[in-house]
Amino acid sequence: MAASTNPGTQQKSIVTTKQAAADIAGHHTEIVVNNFKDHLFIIATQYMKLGTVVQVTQDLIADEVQGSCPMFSTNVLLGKDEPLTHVMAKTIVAALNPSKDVILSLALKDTTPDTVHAVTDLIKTCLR
Amino acid sequence: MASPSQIAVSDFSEIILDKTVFFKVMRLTDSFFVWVGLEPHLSNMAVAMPAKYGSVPSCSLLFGNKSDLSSTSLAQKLAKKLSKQVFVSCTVPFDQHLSVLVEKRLAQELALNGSGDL
Repeated sequence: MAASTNPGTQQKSIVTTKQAAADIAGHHTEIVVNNFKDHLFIIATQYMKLGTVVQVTQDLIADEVQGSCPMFSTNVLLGKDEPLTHVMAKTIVAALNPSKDVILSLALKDTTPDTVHAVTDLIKTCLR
Repeated sequence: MASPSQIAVSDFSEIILDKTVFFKVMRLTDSFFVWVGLEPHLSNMAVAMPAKYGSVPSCSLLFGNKSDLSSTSLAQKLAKKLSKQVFVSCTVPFDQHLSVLVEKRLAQELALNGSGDL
């Protein structure tokens, strides 16, 4: 590396971050995807806060009939541990089909299927 | 559809005690997310927020090794300093000298970028 006047700083980051923002059903929605080596840390928020943090792990089940189908286990780490949280987390992560475990942070003002699908599409734009 | 982003993410790195330490700071509404590490792993996450009564912020480890106190202690210190909710993921191996310098660098960064109440 070339000699610089400030030797204290060099390459910026080893973790890539991608962001997207859109208006979904009248609410400003913000997506941040941090691509770590062992995890994807996805923030989907309409409050600009982390809100509910869910850990989603993938279990590969080898089925003789259907072949391997991904199954997801959800674990609410922080926030509302209600069925809807698990459903939303599984819906979003299943659609993304990630290669690693996901830490998903959800703070949505409206939890209608349309919004969740729009959020999923927005996250997809950050994964490309 | 596209609207301007309201979450500011800043990445920086610093050579501290011959190690390149990477930082990621996310500014959210009334809260922060901080990641510190030498390698791109997210192996733990802690959250801390100022307690209404008493001066020590409450903190909790969301996932990761419970015996590794680096994230929880850093979260607690930052929550106290900023008087805000702070999420921390710290994967820097424990070293008394290193963690002090890491904290110093973070405090400097958070103060620089106008968190307002440092």
